[in-house]
Formats: sequence, structure tokens, C-alpha cells
Amino acid sequence: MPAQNITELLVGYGRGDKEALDRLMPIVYDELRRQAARYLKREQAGHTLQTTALIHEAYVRLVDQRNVQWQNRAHFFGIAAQLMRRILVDHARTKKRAKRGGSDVRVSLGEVDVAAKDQDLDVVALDEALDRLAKIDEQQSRVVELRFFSGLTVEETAEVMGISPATVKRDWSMAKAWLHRELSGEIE
Amino acid sequence: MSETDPQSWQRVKEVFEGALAREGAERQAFLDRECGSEAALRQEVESLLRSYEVAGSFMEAPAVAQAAESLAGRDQKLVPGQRVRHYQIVNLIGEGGMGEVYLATDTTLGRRVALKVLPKYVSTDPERLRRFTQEARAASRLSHPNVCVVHEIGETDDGRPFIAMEYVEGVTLRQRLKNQALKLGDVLDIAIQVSEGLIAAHDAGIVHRDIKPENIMIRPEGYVKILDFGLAKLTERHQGAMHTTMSTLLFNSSPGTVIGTAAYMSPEQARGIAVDERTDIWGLGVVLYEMASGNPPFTGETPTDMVIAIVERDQPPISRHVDGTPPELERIVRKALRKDRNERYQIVKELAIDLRSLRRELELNSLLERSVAPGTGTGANTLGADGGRRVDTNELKAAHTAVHHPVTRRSRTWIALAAVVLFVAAAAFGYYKLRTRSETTPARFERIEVTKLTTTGNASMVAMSPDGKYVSYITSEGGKQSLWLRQVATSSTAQLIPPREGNYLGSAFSPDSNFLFFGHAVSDRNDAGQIYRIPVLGAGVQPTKIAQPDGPPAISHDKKRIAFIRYDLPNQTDQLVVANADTSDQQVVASRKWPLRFGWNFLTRPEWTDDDKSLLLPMVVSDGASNNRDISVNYSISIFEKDLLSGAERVIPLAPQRFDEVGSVSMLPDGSGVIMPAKAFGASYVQIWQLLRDGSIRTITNDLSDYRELGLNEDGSAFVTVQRQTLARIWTLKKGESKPVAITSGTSRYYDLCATPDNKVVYASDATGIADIYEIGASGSEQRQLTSDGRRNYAPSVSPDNRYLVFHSNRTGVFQIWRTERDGSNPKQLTFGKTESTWATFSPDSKWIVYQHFEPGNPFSLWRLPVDGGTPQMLTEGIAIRSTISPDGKLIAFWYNDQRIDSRWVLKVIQFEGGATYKTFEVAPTVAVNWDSPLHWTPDGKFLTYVDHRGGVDNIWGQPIDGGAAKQLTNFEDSVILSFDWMKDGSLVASRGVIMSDVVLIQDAGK
Repeated sequence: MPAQNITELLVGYGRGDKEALDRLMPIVYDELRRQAARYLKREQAGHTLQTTALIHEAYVRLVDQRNVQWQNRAHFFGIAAQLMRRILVDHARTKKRAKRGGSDVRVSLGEVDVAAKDQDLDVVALDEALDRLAKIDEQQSRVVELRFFSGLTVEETAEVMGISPATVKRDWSMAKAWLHRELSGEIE
Repeated sequence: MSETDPQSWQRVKEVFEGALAREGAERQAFLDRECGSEAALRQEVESLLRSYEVAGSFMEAPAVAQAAESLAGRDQKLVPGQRVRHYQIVNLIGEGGMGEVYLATDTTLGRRVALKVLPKYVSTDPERLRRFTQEARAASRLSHPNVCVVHEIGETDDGRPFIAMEYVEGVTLRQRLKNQALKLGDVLDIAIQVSEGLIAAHDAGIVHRDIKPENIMIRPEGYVKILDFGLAKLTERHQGAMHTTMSTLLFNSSPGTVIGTAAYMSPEQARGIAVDERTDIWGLGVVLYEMASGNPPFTGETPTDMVIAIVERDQPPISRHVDGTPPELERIVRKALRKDRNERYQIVKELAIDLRSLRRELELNSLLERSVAPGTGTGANTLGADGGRRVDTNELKAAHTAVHHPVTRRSRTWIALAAVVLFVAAAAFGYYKLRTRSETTPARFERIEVTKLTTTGNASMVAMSPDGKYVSYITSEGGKQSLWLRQVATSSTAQLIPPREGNYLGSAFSPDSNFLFFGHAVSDRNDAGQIYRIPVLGAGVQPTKIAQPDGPPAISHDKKRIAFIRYDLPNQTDQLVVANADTSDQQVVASRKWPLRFGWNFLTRPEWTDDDKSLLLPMVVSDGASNNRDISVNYSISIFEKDLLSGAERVIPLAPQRFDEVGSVSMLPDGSGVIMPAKAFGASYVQIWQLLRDGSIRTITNDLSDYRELGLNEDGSAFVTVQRQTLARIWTLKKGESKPVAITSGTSRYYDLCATPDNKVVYASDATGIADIYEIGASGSEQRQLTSDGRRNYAPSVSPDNRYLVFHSNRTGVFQIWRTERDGSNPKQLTFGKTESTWATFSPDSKWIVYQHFEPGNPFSLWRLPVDGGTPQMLTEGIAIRSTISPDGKLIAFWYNDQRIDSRWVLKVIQFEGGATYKTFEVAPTVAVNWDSPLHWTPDGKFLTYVDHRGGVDNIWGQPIDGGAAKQLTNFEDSVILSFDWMKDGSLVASRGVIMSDVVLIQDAGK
């Protein structure tokens, strides 16, 4: 049953209601945006990035905890990761369009390397590659989603996914290698 | 190798992970061992290992880090002075999850707008944005006073969508509910207005989807506006299937409040099935319930509970929260809140009808209540021992006869409650009067409280009883007028005289507030009318004809004498008469021959000075003798004082302000000055003015509406007036089509338009408070202002060669014809003199203009003048207005009146050269000819077209120039036509809309 609030949406999402995600997106986005603003303030004050804290805060603020089963917490992080992914991809897409007058140009290897150093990798290309990875290895793509898009630690990712930290580490390494190769355009 | 082969992938994975755990030679050995002869496997794993090595920091910094900046910076607030397109930000007036709302100035049109700037994410889905834009555009075309007007939808420089909409002053229903409990009358009034707006929207195929108190604005004078049509579309996933109203969630995305706002969702929204207009009926039902009871119908500790309540539980009856709820209201709410939408009201109109009937019923019932009048009864005798009411049976009978509507049993408890409320209100009112009397408050109406008493838009001729308890007014419907009485304290309304033919001329109460006088003329031709008297409590009683046309009397402070103005029509003289209180011993103490008048209209009442020794009268002095609009006749106001002992008379001058129009002038009760609706010289709107003996002058109102008539109560603490607002748009109607399309978005006063050769429309509008000329493309684009000199500019006409624009303007103090280049530049005055020249039109060869010129003794003759100026030549005598030249340039047509007493307006056509009469046509009585009655040839020259109000609706009719009966050319079903013209291709362009005329009560709110 699609429901009308965060908790219900989470429950709905857990039951396979894909549209719940669409409805969650603007809510979580708004919350994440607020968190991001707060993060920047902290960063300016010399603090380091604590994405997990941000997500936790979002979770606490958004979810009616009295009414949510513990497993929904996993759902939440899962959703937050997907949301972040979608938001960032949308964002990057818009930016790219603005920069390049509307054409969706693929980024070359050199650019990726430079961009990566600048923490400005091609999120759009990554997103597409991640879709391809999901077809081959769903678990690896989820690990990437949680770690990269949601910013969870290895341990947190393991907790949310219900797998061991060692498995997360292994999946992460391979996914990273695979995705990097995809993005650098090296054909096997 | 194929990666999509799970087995191969699994193998690559194992080997890759194994290799990664080893280094150097060990790794090589591992690879040799694992891959053996599988070259593809080895190649794949090595490729991945290489990639891993160079990946470095790839993906190591979480995405949010690089997104944080742009995320956080996404919707930086706009600052005052900042510009968004042609809007300049004034200040932030609200914010929520769906962005911020700013007060801004539209710099091209100079008007205030509310600018809603949405978060950027909504624009990342172009399809979603398109649906929203489409819907908001459709809603913006709704010309309805209860729907907030959307002017424009656009995008900021950084890509955030914005909506520029009508700036609605006032509070949201949510704020209103927080501040005070609503009276039942208000509840119904608000619900009826919301339903009116929804009817218009649903008729246009637009569902709001998110009706809730936050989206309902209440303006200070009581107008209700529904906000955010189309906005719910932004958060919709699929076309036609609305699963949730995201703005509801977003506006309150902190915990706790989500629960509150989920409360307005319909069961079908909660279930996630497609919604239709019945969802809005549900939403209005919830709002109605909350207004009536002060509580939401569905509650839940958690959102889940809330949703379950909406989908499964029945709301408790309103009477659980409020005693004495009318059962009919319970029934209406129950029907609006049926879980199964097939059992609900199917269309809003049904709901609106039930709400109206209920309101009427309550009004009629509380009229009965009025017979236990405040002051005559006590709390004890309003409630009988049986919990019912005890009233004088004679009064009961009279009221019954009047309303033909017995008290129904089901509303008895409400009546009992109303009686108590009434008593309390009366007590409060008494206290208020006592307080204002005992204090000396020379500055009146410094702060005002405005209450809208009617919302039907068809009220006029207002009067207020001296005790301030009653207000009378006229409503017009279908060409008939009826007389109504409203009790201020209870908001109850009764029809004193049912609809009938003829025209009311005004009304006034007797000094003791027991009688209402009114003037009524059977027809509008050759009938000066009669004055009648009817008891205020005597609905149904035949009015008594008053033989002498006297103004309302003022009773002296010692109660011994009365004074009034008598209008001696045959001798064209106003007399000031003093008599004993029983009307015996009448003496004329002063008189004035017209054009000097004692009474501005037959409602003017003298005032006694505190010592009863003198009488004071407002005097309106005109420097001309015409009642026509906008001609160079000005008025100034003074006070006439008659000393009854010495017989001395003196005129006390007030501020030397000149006025174009003056309405009913009332003396303030202490003689300190006058208060009146008037249009200042050169101003665009009639406002309420106060002129005091100390020479001070100010407006009490300051808005974009006109005020007509004014009735002041005896202590000068409140008055009633009629507020008129013109809500029009410019529409085009393509040749051969039946549906007009609005090309302007905001409703405003648009008049005097002209179709141009380059397919644009040039028009005059005073939307900003000053009448100026604007231009807009026929499709509604490229709007721009052509004049901006701070004076009034009307009646634009563009030359057929598209070179010049002519119009009349009062920039020299008198309206004269001016010419500019087509773009408004290089103004040149074409006519001169002390009296005005107006309404210029071009000859087809663009060489001549024809216009009307006013001179005392020869009003409105037609003249022609070369377009470059020169000596004007007179074309006609007699009254000729609104000339138009035939497309072949040979004929001039105009409205003509030969000025004989009995004469009617005719359509006259003369030769352009020589001026010989070509033809004269009679027009139907439903054609109202006046200054504002446009006349145009059709482009083919076959018809002379004008507006006919036949059947109560304005349509364009055409008189065939070759003779024969006039023919209806449009099939509009509503609205009035303010102006029209024909485009080259035969399309019609017209300014159409509604004129809302409602009674407002303005009270002095003290300091």
C-alpha cells in the first residue's frame, strides 16, 4: 500500500512499491540539502566530512521512530543511497547540459583522472556503468551505492546489507576496479 | 568472455579477489594456478587488477562531498532588490519545502506580485515540469475572483522554476483558524467561496488535489482566494494518476507536522489511485469540518493511524465538538466525506448549492431571532424554560409572512445558541458605543477594520441605520432588483422586497432606525421615481409611498425638532426644512437654486450642532452642470452652516481638493467634517475621502477598487459602502470558433482596446492605479507599456499604416488628443483648448483622425483633424459619441442623441465627405449606450457592431449596414464586455470579465 508519509513510504518501499521511492525523493532531498548546508559550515570550521552523521540526522528527523521496525532503518539507508545517487546524477546531468550546450558528451579517461582528483568525477557515466554492473552483480552495485552515494563506512554497509564487512571490502574493491575500467573506456 | 554469464563472473570474482590478496610473485603464481589455460579469464582479471591499481582515490570521497556545495547552494535565498527576470524582490514572505515566496514588483507593469520560487529538483524531470506548467497555465486562464491569478511561469537564471502570481493580502485560513474560532456564517461564506472557485476550475478540467487551509487565503475584506492550482502536479508521478500531494508533505517535512497535513488527503489519494474532482470535494469537506468544529475530522497518533483513519474510520459528528451544530451542516459534511467517492457529492456545484441553501435557511431563521432584539430582551428571556425561544407572536407572524419559510425543527438548537451569541454581541456593541462616545477621538478611521458583508458581487445602494445595527442594500439579478436587510451583529440577512422590475435609486434609514426609506423608479425612462417607506421589522409589509421627495431627517439633540432637505424638482431648488419632531410646523430656513445644491443626492442629511442652534450641511460645488464622466467638470466640497437664531449663513471651505466624481457626502456627526466616496481630479479610482474643518484631507481607503455610496452610523464609528472591482481579461476569439482564449493572465481593469495592423492589441488599463496604454501580442506574448507619464491615458487607436498611436490624455490638465509614434515615443498634442477632446479614431488612409469634442452648450460634437495636426473641422451637431470610420473610408458611424427629452440613442451613419446623413438605425433597449459603449465596423464593412445585454449576458451584435434586423455575432454565456475590436483576419478581441460589487462595512478600529 503506497502510504503518505516517510514511515509508510519506507514500509511500502520495503514491500516492493517502487513509486514510494519517487515520493520519498523530494523529502529526503530537502533534508539532505539542509544537512549539506550544515556540513559546509562545519567544514569551513575545520571539521571533516561526516556523511554518515548527516544521514543519521536525516533519518532521525524524518522517520517516526515509534512506528518503525528496526529493519526499516536498513531500508532507509538503502533508499537514501538510491536517492543520493539519483539526485547527484540529475544534478550532474543538469550541470553538464548547461556547460556543454545540451549535448551529453562522454568524458575521456584523462578527464576522469583529473576530475577524480578534483573530486569531480563523471557521475553520469558512473551511474550508467553502475546500472550495467547491477545486471552482472547486484550486490556489488548496492555496495557502491551505499558506500559512494550514501557515504556509509564498510561496517555500516555490512550492517545495512546483512553481510560481513570482509565481503563488503571485497565487493568494493572489485566494483571499484570494474567501474574505473568502464569509465576509462578500456575495452577488454 | 561474457560477463553476463553468472558462472564466468563468479569465477572472475574469485580469482580477482584471490589475486588482490596476494602481491608480486605470489600473485603471479596464484594467477597461473587459477587460470591455467583459460586465457580469457586471466586477461579479464589482469585488466581489472590494472584498473584497480590506477583507480587510486576513485570513488573514495563520498558523492555527497562533491554534491554538498551545490546541494546547499541550490536554493540560496533571493535578497531584496535582486531581480528575477523583470521582477524585483521586495522581501521574503514565506518559505517551505516547496521553495520560498517573495513579495516582488513587476517592473514592466509596476504591480505587486507574489513570486513563488520552487526548488530546483522539480525541474529535473522535464515531463513533470511540463505537466505542472500546463496545469498552472490552464488555471491562470480561470477568470474567477476566488482563484489566485497566475501571471507567469518562468525559470530563474540558476534554473529554479518560479511562478509569478497575484499578490493576495490577507491571512491563510490556517492562520485564521489559529487566531479565532469562526462564526458559522463565516464558515459557510468561506466554504461557498472555495466551492465557487473549484466550480470554475473543474469546469475547465482542472483538479486542485491539495485543498487545505494553507492553500486558502482570506483577504481583509473577506474575499477568499484558492492558491496553488497545478502545484500538486509537480509531485505527481504518472500522468493522470496522483498518488500523493507532495506539497502537503514538503511544506511540513519535519516530524509531527506531517501527521497534521496528511489529514487533507482523500482516501483515493491515500490508496494511490487516480484522482478526479471528487478529491477536491473531499478536501473541501475536511476544511469545512475543521472550520465548523475547530478540529480535524481524522486524527492519528502516527501517520499510519492517520492514513487508516482516513481510509477506514468515520469522522465524529461536528456536534461532538460544538453544541448546536445545524444537522444540515452535519449532513453536508458527511456527504462530502464519504469514503467511496461514488457516494460523495459528484460535482462541487451540488455542494455549493447545499451550502447556499443552508446559509439562506440560517439567515432566515436568525431573522426571527432579531425580533428578540438586543436591548429589549435579556439573556433570561431569549431562552424559554423548554430550551426553546420565547418571542412576541406578532413579530413571529410578521417575519413568517415575510420569509415564507417556517423555522424547521432541526435548527432550533442553533437558534437558541444564536440568540445567546446575539445578546452577547449586542452587549459588546453597546459597550463599544459607550466607550467611543465618552472619549474624544477627533481622528476617525485612522485604523480601520473592513468586513465584507456580501460576496455575491451584485450588491449596490447601501445604507446603514443610525444605530449601526442594520444595513440595507440592493442586489441585482437577471435584470431585477431586490431589497435586502442585514443585521450587522448576527450577519443574518432578509429579503425585504423580492426581485422586481425597475430601478432602486437609493435608501436611507429613519433617525430612530425603525424605518427604511428608498427611492424606486418603475422604468429607467422618464421616471424620476418615488420615495417609499417600509418598517425595518416589517418584511412583507407593503411599502408606503412618501408624497414629498424629502431627504432623510436629522433629529435634534433635544429630540424636539427635525431637519431635512426637500427637493423642489419643478423649481429646481433645494430647501433646508426644519419642523417639529411630529413633522408639524415645517419652515424653509434656507434654499438654493440649482446648480448650487444642498443635497448631493436625496440621501443627504443635515446635522445639528451640539447646541441645536445651527444646522450643518455638506455642499458640493461644481464648476459645470453635466453628469457625464470625465468631462472637465470638477467638484469641490465645503460645509454650509445655517444659524437658526440669527438666520446667518456661512460657507466653511474645506481642503481645496478638486474631484472628478463625488458620491454620497455625509457629515461627520460632530460636524467636524465630511466623509464621502470620491474620485480625486486625475485619479483612476473612487476612494473614500475624509475632509475635516481644520483643512486636513486624507483617503480612508487606498486600493484598486471603486467605492459607491456611503452610509454612516450616528456616532460616526462605522460606515458601509459598496466596493466595486472590475476583474477583466483580454480575450481573443478566432473567426469561426466559439471558445475565446484569454491573452492576459491577471484580472484587472482593461478598457478601450484597439487591434493593430501588426496583429497586436493596444489597450488602456489602470491595473497599476494609473491608466496607461499597453501593447500585447495577439497570442499573449510581448506585453509592453507604451505610455508612462503619470497621467491618465485612455482610448488608444493605432493608425492603419501602423505608424502612429493616438489616445486621449489629461497631461495638460484637460483631456486632449495626443499622438505618439507607434512605440509610444515622441508625444505630440493634437487638440487644444479649455474643454476636452476625446476618443480619436483613424480614417483607413491614416490621414485623418475623427474625435469627439465637448463644449458647454454643444456637448460631444464630432470633429476631424489631419493626423499631423492643423485646424479641426466640425462634422456633426447634437450628441455624437464613439465614432468609427468605415473600412472604405466613406462613412462615419456613431451613437447619436438629438437631446430631446424623450429621445433615445440611435446608430447614425453619415458621409465622411460633406457629412450628409446616410442612414439611421434604432437599437434594442438592451443596448446600453454611454460613454463606454464601443462601436466598430466589421473588417468587411458589412456590419456595425456593438454590445447588447440581451438575456442578461453581454454579446456582440451586428447591425447590417444594408438594413435588416441586427444579428447576434458571439455566443458568450457570461461576463460583461468592456471593450472590443476586430482583428484584420476577422478575429474578435475583447476585454471581458466580471464587475464585483459588494457591500463592505468599515469600522473605526481606534488607535
